[in-house]
Amino acid sequence: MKTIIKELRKERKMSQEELANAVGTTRQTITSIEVEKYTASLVLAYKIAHFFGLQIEDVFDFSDVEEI
Amino acid sequence: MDKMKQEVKSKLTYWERLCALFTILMATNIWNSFRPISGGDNFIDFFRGFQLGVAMAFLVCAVIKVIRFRKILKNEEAIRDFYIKEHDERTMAIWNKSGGTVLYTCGVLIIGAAIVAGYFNSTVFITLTLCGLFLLLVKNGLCIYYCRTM
Repeated sequence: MKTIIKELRKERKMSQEELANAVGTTRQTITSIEVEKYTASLVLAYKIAHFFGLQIEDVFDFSDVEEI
Repeated sequence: MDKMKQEVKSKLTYWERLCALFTILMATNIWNSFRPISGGDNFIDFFRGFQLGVAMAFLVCAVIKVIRFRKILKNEEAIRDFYIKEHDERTMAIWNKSGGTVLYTCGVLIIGAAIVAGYFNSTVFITLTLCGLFLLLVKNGLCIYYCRTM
């Protein structure tokens, strides 16, 4: 899933480690989310979005999600 | 923080108990308390050596864990880091996807069963040991694979 975490991080001049510590996860998880290898859970997505003061849909791109 | 500390403490207690168990296992092996009822001298030597090796390996692992947990308990920052690593959702997803719980439990139980079976039959002992090691190998292989792809 596409995200703008990397851009948001760069804007705030934050490292992956700092973001990971702030949302209670590991640097590897943030890396995997940024490179679209791993899709964050709802809780983690909420924590990340909340940390940047945005809504989940502003941070994560749901346009690729298929509707049934 | 208390919840995190409690979790580290419970893990420390668990590994301390395992330390005691493996020390007892090693002692019974060194004192030759139990001998297999079948198999030649070569097999008995091999079996004792295997048991001693397994007990020693687990004991070393358990001691390292105990030292690590005691060190973590002294530092609040380390407790937080440990808690985050333990509850990291990607790590848990990798563990679940590679069938961690099932393969790990089966592997350890099969090796335990092999040690018990070794007292009665050498063929069953070797078969179960290889089977257990194969399961643990598959589990670790899958973990490495998913670590790279997730």
